[in-house]
Amino acid sequence: MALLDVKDLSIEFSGLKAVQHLDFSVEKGEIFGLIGPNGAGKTTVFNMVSGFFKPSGGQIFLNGMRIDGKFMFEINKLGIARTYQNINLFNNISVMDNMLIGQHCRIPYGTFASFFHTRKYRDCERATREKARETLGFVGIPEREDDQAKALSYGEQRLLEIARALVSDPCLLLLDEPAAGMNPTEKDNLARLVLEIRKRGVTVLCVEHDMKFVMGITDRICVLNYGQRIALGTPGEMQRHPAVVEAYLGGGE
Amino acid sequence: MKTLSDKKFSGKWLRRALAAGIFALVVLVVVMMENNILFARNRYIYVLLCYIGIYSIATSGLDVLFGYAGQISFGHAGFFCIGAYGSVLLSHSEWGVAKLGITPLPPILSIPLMGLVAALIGALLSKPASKLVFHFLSLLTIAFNQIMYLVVANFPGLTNGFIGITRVPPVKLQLFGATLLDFTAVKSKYSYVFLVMAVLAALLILKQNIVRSKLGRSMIAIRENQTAANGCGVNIMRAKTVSFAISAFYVGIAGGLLAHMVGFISPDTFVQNTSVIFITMLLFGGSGNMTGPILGALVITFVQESFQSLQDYRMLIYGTFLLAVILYQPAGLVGLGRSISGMFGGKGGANRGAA
Repeated sequence: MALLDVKDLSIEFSGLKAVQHLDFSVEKGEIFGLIGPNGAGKTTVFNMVSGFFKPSGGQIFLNGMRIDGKFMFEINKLGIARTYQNINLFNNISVMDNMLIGQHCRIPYGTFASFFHTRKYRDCERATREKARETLGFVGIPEREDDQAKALSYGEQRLLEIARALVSDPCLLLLDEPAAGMNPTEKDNLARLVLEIRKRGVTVLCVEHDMKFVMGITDRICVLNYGQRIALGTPGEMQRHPAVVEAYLGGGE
Repeated sequence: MKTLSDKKFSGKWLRRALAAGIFALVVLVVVMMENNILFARNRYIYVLLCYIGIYSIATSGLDVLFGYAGQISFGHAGFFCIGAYGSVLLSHSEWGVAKLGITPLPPILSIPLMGLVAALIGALLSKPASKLVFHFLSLLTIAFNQIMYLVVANFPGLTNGFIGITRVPPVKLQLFGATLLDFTAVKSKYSYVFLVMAVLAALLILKQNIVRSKLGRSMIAIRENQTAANGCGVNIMRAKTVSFAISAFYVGIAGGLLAHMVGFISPDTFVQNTSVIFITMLLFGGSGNMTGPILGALVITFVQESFQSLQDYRMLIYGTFLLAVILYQPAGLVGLGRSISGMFGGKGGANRGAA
């Protein structure tokens, strides 16, 4: 059984069919790419999988459990964490606090412990902080723990967003244009990081514009155009696929 | 790494020592006053201290909602009203429950009970409120304030209407009929200030606990970025409900303490202006931390008292204060303190954004 199963997924915004009858499935341990020209509906698919939009048709299954129509916070608890195309951090608080909020749904103590700081609170908080530090180290910004999130450089903010998503122990990580706005060195580091993330047992679904980046790291790619799937396969196949070439380069007139 | 955590450790203890020092100073001053060493001729200062304590509680409560969860309310006098009127109606021997033939409760029980009722009503109010933002939310809370005002003003059978209720029973701690502690504000010994300070201290500790927990972080998350908060597994509706309830609880308790201190209540105390005073105190002191609301309550109460003769221009003065703060010092007095300590090379800096 696939980890993520998207079946006949459609959504329309007041008549505009942004995504139509989309099918794909992501296997466990895969790095799966979702590409397409501007406005093809990639981010819309992301928003439906993560619960930000409610699809107008079709189903989404995570580990066989139907998740479409659930709230974002419920889906996060079920194991899907995401990053955003335009960075969405908690800007005015510290990097550490961002990481603590990232673990919100994994912290087991309840309201009573929050009020009175019981022993369970102290134990959980210590473990939560350790895990946050470990994850910051993993993405490569361990020394920025006490800085305000908005004080980080653009590349570091992207890394923090990935770290914040990772720290909630997801089984599926959605990366929405992670390499956007990065320089070539940062892109190389990011590619290495995504491969490392897969080694930790996290499946990655990635929307990206940068072809070199996508071709380099993904196992399979789904190509969208005008909200429909035009091709699905390995990066090598996609580069030669006539429909993909036409969508990207335009048909011969 | 090691030095970093050490530094943090000592900073924490320094802060704790400072807090303990301030607390000890307050206790010392009060004890000296109680024994006629300090301010022996000027008992008015006790009443002022009680007011400051009560306003600090209310403003701290508003801070949970505004400073941490980022939700504005111009109607917290409504919760103040629930706490005050509720507690009086539950404990008075002539009005409220007594009219219905029910034995009144002792105030020491009715105050916390009405705090909880205020919390419940706050939670209910958050259901429509959590769908609104900014000015729509302000309007809703103003309407709530107005409703509470009109309710207490228009049930003369229970509340004596606009005339108000006199002879509100004082707070006493009784056990098996024997009075252990008697908290009164108008007798020769002004022990009420102890009660207010004790409640303030307890509620401040509770507030600090809340904001440093999962619960408080969920509030900060919705203040900072609702989309990201939702994606991080924070149930936004729940966080808003809880922050409204906690905030209402604090203000409700403050209302109860006020009513039993003054010994008289009328609907006039709970008009819209009172809500504006809370907001002024919070913004002036600085929101999103512990000291800000207390500083704000302190300064604004003194301002209010010193301009007693200018009653009619009070709202004008608040307006000017608010405008000055918003334009020149958006982080309030606390922010001013931070930037001054930053100027002298101290580890000041706004490391925790004040809303």
